This record gives sequence, C-alpha cells and structure tokens, in this order.
Amino acid sequence: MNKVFIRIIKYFVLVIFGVFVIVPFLWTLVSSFKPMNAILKDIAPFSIKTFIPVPFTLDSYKELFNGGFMQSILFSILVGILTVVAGILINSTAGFAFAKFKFPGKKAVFLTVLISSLVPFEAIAVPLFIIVRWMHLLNTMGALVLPMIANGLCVFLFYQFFKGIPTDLMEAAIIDGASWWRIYWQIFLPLSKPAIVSASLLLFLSQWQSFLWPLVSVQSSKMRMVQVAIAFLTINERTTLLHVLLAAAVMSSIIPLLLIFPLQRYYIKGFVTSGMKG
Amino acid sequence: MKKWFIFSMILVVSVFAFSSEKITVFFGSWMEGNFETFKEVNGYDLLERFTEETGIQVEPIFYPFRELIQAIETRMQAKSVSPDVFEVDSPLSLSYYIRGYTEPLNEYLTEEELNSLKEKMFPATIKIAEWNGKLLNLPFENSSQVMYINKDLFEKAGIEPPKMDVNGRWTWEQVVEAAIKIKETMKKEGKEVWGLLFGQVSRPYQMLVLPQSLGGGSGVSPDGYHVEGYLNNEGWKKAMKWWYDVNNTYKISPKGVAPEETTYLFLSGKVAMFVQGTWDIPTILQAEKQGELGFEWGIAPHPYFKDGEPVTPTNSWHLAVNPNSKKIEASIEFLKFMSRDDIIADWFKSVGQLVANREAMAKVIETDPKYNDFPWNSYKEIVLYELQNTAMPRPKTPFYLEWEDLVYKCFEDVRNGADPIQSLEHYMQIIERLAKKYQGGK
Amino acid sequence: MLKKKNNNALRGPQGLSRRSLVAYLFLIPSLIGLAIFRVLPIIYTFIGSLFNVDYGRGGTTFVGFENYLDVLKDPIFWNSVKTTLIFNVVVNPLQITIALILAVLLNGTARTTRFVRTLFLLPLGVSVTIASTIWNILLNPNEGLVNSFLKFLGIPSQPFLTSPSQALWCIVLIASWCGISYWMMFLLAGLQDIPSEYYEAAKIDGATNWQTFWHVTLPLLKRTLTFVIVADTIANFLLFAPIYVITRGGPQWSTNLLMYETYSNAFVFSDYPRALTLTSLLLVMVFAIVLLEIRALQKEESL
Repeated sequence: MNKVFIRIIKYFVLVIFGVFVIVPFLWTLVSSFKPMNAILKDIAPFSIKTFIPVPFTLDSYKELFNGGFMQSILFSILVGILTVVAGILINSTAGFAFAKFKFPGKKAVFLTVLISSLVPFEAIAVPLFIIVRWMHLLNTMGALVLPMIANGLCVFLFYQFFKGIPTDLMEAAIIDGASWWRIYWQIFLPLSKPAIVSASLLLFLSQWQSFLWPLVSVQSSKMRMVQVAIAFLTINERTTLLHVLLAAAVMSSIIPLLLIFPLQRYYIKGFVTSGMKG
Repeated sequence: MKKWFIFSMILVVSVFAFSSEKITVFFGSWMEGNFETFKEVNGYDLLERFTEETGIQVEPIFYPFRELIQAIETRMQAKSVSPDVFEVDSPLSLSYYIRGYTEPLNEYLTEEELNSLKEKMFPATIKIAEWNGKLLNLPFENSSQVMYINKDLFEKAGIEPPKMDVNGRWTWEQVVEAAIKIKETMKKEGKEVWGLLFGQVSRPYQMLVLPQSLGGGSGVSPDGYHVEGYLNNEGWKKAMKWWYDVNNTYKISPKGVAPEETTYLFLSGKVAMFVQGTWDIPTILQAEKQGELGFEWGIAPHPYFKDGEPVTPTNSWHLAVNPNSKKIEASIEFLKFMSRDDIIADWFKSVGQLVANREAMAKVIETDPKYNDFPWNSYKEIVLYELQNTAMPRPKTPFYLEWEDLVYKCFEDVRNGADPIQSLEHYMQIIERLAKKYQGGK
Repeated sequence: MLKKKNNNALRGPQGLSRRSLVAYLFLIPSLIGLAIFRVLPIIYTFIGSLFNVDYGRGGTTFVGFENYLDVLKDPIFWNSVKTTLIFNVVVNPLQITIALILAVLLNGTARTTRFVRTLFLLPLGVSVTIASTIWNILLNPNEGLVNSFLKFLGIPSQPFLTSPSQALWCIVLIASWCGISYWMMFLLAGLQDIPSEYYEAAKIDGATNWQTFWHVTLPLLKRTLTFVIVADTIANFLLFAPIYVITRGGPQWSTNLLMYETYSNAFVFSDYPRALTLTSLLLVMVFAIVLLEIRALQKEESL
C-alpha cells in the first residue's frame, strides 16, 4: 500500500515537472518547423494545431545554417573544450590544495577565491576589457578562453569533493614514497570522475552560453560564439526573427545534450570505483 | 595562428602608422545583413569599392542590433581606439558628444562640403545631429512610419479603410472608433482580434508623436537640460490618458507583446491597424509571396489627433567618428564616401531602408518604375511627403539614453494599467535627478 | 601507530613548510588566473566607486564614499534590495528542493530513468536570453500559450509579466525552468558518489525509503548540496537576462533586481561610478549570504 502510494507520488512529481520542462520545449520544436506567420496564429486559441507542425517548412533551419551557424557551433565547441581541459586541471589542483593541505593564509586565499566567483560579468566588462587589451589578447582565442579558465566555483566544487575522500588513502601513499603530483594524478583525480563531469559541464556551459564577453572582446566574424551568432541571425532590423530564434533554441539545446550523453556513463564508472574504495 | 598573425600585423600597423602604406579603418556596425544584400543586388562590395578608390581598407566589426549600444559603451568607456567609425542611433548624438564618444566633423570638412551636406539631407536628420553650430556626425539612414491595414477585417466590419493619401489622413479618434467596431464584430464571430497595434510599442521613437501631435512637445526643455514642466505638461497628460484608454478602457490593443514580436501578430491576421516603419514592407511582401499571408493589406498615412497637428516619427542611424581613433582623417574619407549620392542611391535601392540623403532617395523613387505600384508607391504618395513636412525629431538632450529608457517604462506602465498622470510625474522626477550630472557646467 | 608517527614527522617545522610550498604550487595556476581576471577588476570596481562623474563640469572627481551615501538614500535602490531578497528567498529553496527531489527520483541506470533524465536536461543549452524570449511569448496575457490553455480549462486569463503583482513570480518561473535541470545534474553527480554499501546497510536495518533518504542520502550529499546552494544563490543574485529581455525592471519597478539596476546605471543612465558602487554593495551582500550558508551547512568542519 505504502509502496504504491509512493510510486503514485513519484510519477505525479515527474509528470508535473515534465510538463513544465517539456511543453515549452515541445512548442519551440514544433513552431520552429512552421512558417513565421503561423507561429502566433496557432498559439491562441489553444488547440491540437498548437502542437502539430502544419504547415511544415524547413525555412527557419535553412536561414539559420545559411548564416554560418555551423561554424559558430564548431567554434564554440572548440573554445568550450579548451576551457574545460585547462579549467579542470588548474581548478582541481587548487581544490586539492584547499582540501588536503594546511598552509599559512589558507582562509584568506579561500575567501578570495570565493569572492572571485561572485563578480557579475556585466559589471566588470570595462576593467576586463582594459586588462585583456593590455595583454594584447583582444580579437584572439586567448581573450575568450583565458579569462574563463580559472573559476572560483569550480575550485569550490573540487574542494567539496576532495574533502570527502579519506585522508588515510593519501597518508598511505606518502608512506609509499609517492610524490604529491602522483597522489593527485593517480589517486585523487581518477576518484573524482563525477566531480570532473560536473565541473566540465559548468565550464562548458559557461562558454556555450557566454554572450557579452565574446561580443566585446572579439571582432572577427570568423570567431563568432554560438549565442552571438544567434543574436545576429535572429535580430533583424527592429524585429526578432522568431522562427529562426526557435530553431536556434532547438539546436543550441541539442548540442550540449549530445556531449552529455557519453559522459553519463562516467557517472556510473565513478560510482563503481569509489564504491569499492569507500 | 592566422589570427595571431593578423593581430600582430595590426599592432605593427598601428604603431608605425606613419611608415605603413595601407591604413585600416575599423567600422562598428550592426548592419551585416544590409552589406550582404547590397553586394547581392548591386554586384559590388561597398567596402571593397572604397578601398579601390582610396587605398584605405575598411574592416567591419559587426554587433547584433540590440547590443550595439552596449558594445560601444564598453569600448568607449575603456577609451578604445577601435572602432574608428561606428553607427549611432541619431538621438544619441548629443549624449555621445558630451561624454566624449564622438568627434564633430566641422574641423575636417570645408565650408562648402558642410553646406552641400546640409542642403541635400532631410531637415530632421541634420537637426538631430547639430549642436552649437557643430555637426556631430553624418546622417546616414532614415525612417518613417505608416499605418498598415488588414482590409479583410475592415470589410467584415463594414468600414471603408483609410486610403493611401496624405490628404485623407485618419485621426486617432477615427482609428479608435473603427478599432472598437472591428473588435466587437469579430467577437460575435467568436474570434479575438485587435483593432490597433503599435509596431514599436511603448518606445519613445514611436509614442512621442502622440504628445507632439497634441502640442505637448518633445518632453525636454529647448536647451536640453530639464524635463520638469515639459514631460508633465497638458499635451503629455492628454496623450498618456489616451494611451491608457486604448489599452485599458477600450482594450483595442494587446498587452505584453514586445516590439520585436508585433510584426508577427500583424502577419497572423489578428490586427486591423498596424502602425509601423516602412521597413516592414519587404517582410509582409515575403509572407504574401509565399502564400502565407491570408488577407488583403493596404497602407495608409500615420494618424494624428483631431485637435492637433499631423506629426510622424523619424530619424535613424548616423555614422560617427571615435575621438580616440588614430586614423581620423581616413575615417572622414570613409564618411565622405558613405554620403556620396551614387553610393547612397545604391544603398537605398538594395537595402530597403530609407536614407537621410533626400536628393539621392527622391531621384531613385522618381526614376524607378517599381515605385508606381503597390506597395512601393507608398514611398511616392506618403513617405517623401512625411519626411519633408511632418517628420519630427526626438528631443536633443545629453541625457537621451536615460530619458529614452525611463519614458519607455512610463508608457509601458500606463499600458499595463498604471495611473497615467502619476506615472508621468514619477518618471519626470527620476529623469530630473539623472539630468543633474549634465547641468553643472551649463 | 606507524602512520601516526610518520604524520608527526611530517608536521615538523621543516615538513610543514615543504607541505605548504607544495600547496602553493598546486594553487598558483588558478590563483594567477583569478587574480588577473577577477580580483583586479574587483579592485578597479571599488576604486572607481570612489569617484564621481559630472559631464557638466567635465571629467571625474574623487568624492570618497559620497556615492555610497547617495545610493543608500535612494528609494529605488532600497526597492531593488527588497525585490532581490524576496526573489532569492523564494527562488533558491524552490529550485534546490525540486532539483533534489528529481535527482533522487532519477538516480538510476534503468533505460526509462535515463531517458526521462535526458528529457529533463533539454533546457541546459538554451541560453537564459532565448529562454526568456520564448517564455515571454508563452506567458503573453492575450496571445500566450499558458493563458490559452487556462481558457481551455475555463480559468480566466492572467496578466502575468504585465502585472506588478505577478511579474516577479513569472521571473521565478523562468529562472527555474533554466536552473532546475542544471542543478539537478550536480546533485545527480553527488548521488552517484554515495557508495551502494550504505544503501544496502540501510536496507538490512529495515529502514523505510524516507528514513534512508533522511539518514543516509542527505548527510552524504551534504558537500554537494553545499556547493549547489552556494552556486545557485550566486547565480540568482546576479540574474539579469530575463529582466533585460522582457521587463526592463517593470512594471512599476516590480522586477528591478539589483543586478539590473547596476546594469541600467552602467549602460543606460551613463553613471558608471554609481554602477561600480552598486556592484561593490552587491558583492558584499552576496558574499555575506554565501558565507552564512557555508557556516550553517558545515558547522562541524573548519577550513
């Protein structure tokens, strides 16, 4: 009886949230295949037509991809991957230091790292621009990648994770004469796969969704990040090209998912390894 | 690697500018699509043509429309040398000048050149760009508003729609009456439609003509430094009350539709009268061509108040020079090129935007047979007349950026049911406070 | 015993300094990055907030803390503080609770579970800007999908984003649509890291699902949860896009969150020093709240 009841509640919660998440997305998906004047025509009054892509057209996707959208997607993925690789390395080492070492000034440094994760980009655009210009990085890949690698939240994420790994493991390795780098590289990093996946997601999405910084710091149309490209392709004169925007929304949500798919397996792997050692 | 190479080249060029042969002018623009259309239609690349003629290269830096202003603010506050030339929304001319974002053109142009510029431009475009005898930037594009008509809805309600004739211009009173009738007729058929929709709803660009038509002026004192007594005068109060009624008493206009979505609502056939810029003509034509429109449409002149003057919104994008630029002379060359009659004529023909250069535009309209047929005949019948006679610029004030944002919010609040008089007083006080930082050295 | 001895040896004066050195080496790469790209701009922000701009007289002048006094006297600022706090008090617990429930429900390897999980991740890649545009259409008072659905059910239309009393809650809704899936990902990762022995032990002890959740899952998830709470708080305090795209702070200032007020001052009201002042205040405020959260959640653990 109890079990059935729980099951009902479980499905109820999933359905409610599912409707909340999926209906807007479904509408977006369906409407992206409609000609632009049918989108608002079918939305009210509410009927089955709202969720059927008739009349059907691929115009919005054609417009999107004729505008060089593919290049922007690939470029954003490249920037995202560079950021993830470099970011995982330096933020996890910092998290490791905070979690497993005692050193003078630790608290002050940690608070600084925490504060640094609080600054809103819109507010620091001007000083950041001046700094990047001073480093002669404007209009380069460096302007996009370098400022986004070190990430206070990412450090915090790894710190939280590493704290949970028993110190015994580390002390044992020290006795065996392992170097600190080896302890980090061969023990801690392999154990932290779930944290790495989360941190990768955080870093990748921060680049995938970044908009204002690429807009200000890079001028060339060949280095156009995906959100900037969407703004270009959808804001025409004084109107939003709604059908193209919807197609862009569909495309920009599918690509991170394709990247997350293979990573889902790592969740299970991470679970198995730490399960054995924990 | 290539980027690095180009970048270091640019660095070298800017450091040793005097010894290098080729100069590159960076041009901040949101009109990427327009430049592409220009090339497609005219068969040559505008910027390449300039390089062929002068040896100066122009490298465009494109920004999305909505973010151009923000990108320019960030770069100018950081005193960036690039872009050398950029597009500025013309009512911001004075704001940019006062804050050191633009270099006036007088020093770099001869008296003769200046006079010929002023001569051939539409008067409102020069008016918004001049300050204390200085020409702050170069008028480039222009705009005008008309009223698009859904003839099917008029027919169903048994009303004769307004014609494409400036002498048969409707009053707002007529508009409201027809809108109510159309809405009610359709309601009986079980369909919800809207009588009236403003394309740039709540944006001062479009709403300003309401108080202007009622004699309320532009909402800012003539010297450009105050709003008290100007934003809350009788004309403004009347206009605001009318705006309140349209949305809340008669309910003939939909709430919550953003300016970017209005065209879609008109295309969907749910709007009888759509007041919008001429820039939507190609969009409607395209929908019609694809067989998606589903109704007969027409174009009528912009309405006015019965007891007031006919006034129409105007102005658009100008080209300005960055005072921190290291290539001002070359930038001026580019501006001169961009004001030439033949270039402007090609721009007007291909891009679908009105231009500030009256002579060039009138010539194209007179010679090209395309302008004899609907819908382009509206340029001949309405637009040229409006630009020359009824076009009224927005206020010339250093705090236009602040003013624009807050007056937008005021119209938006009233649209959503806030008290019109109280809202005007409220926003007037906020603008007056923000104006203080400009009043010191007056 | 042996281990302990070794430990003591390592904690000797020399050992300590060697360990510290190693720690610094591990820290340096990210610290350099943060110092250049985050701390320097913060310093710039604070210094800039001590100046005032007067275009009438020309240029900027040093005014000390005058901007702060000005801001603290401004009713619009206090309205923003109030709105920001109300927004966060609602949106953070809401997002985290739902994300946690979903993470627990979807923590499994069955094919259907994985499928549903993937569906729920759809909003991840959609930028908040685009999501806001879409939701603005769906929530339109006359032509929106939500209202036309309500009408279908016989419920009267709601004004949603055009009403001063509903707009903020619509922003909560939009922020949650974008945020819940994101935080669910982190919590799922945390759940995956709880060794299965704990659950097996709980099962053997005859614990109910609820007891297992309360006594096994939650304590072991605490570190991940702390991270999610802190990160979510920061994200929501700095939320900006929906306001920028849809309401611009209105109607009648009801959605004028502090971050948007800062943006307005920097890019619309041409008052950069005031924007820097607001940024500094916002920074102090969020920092205090985040510290409180960490303290409250990790009482027993010191740094």
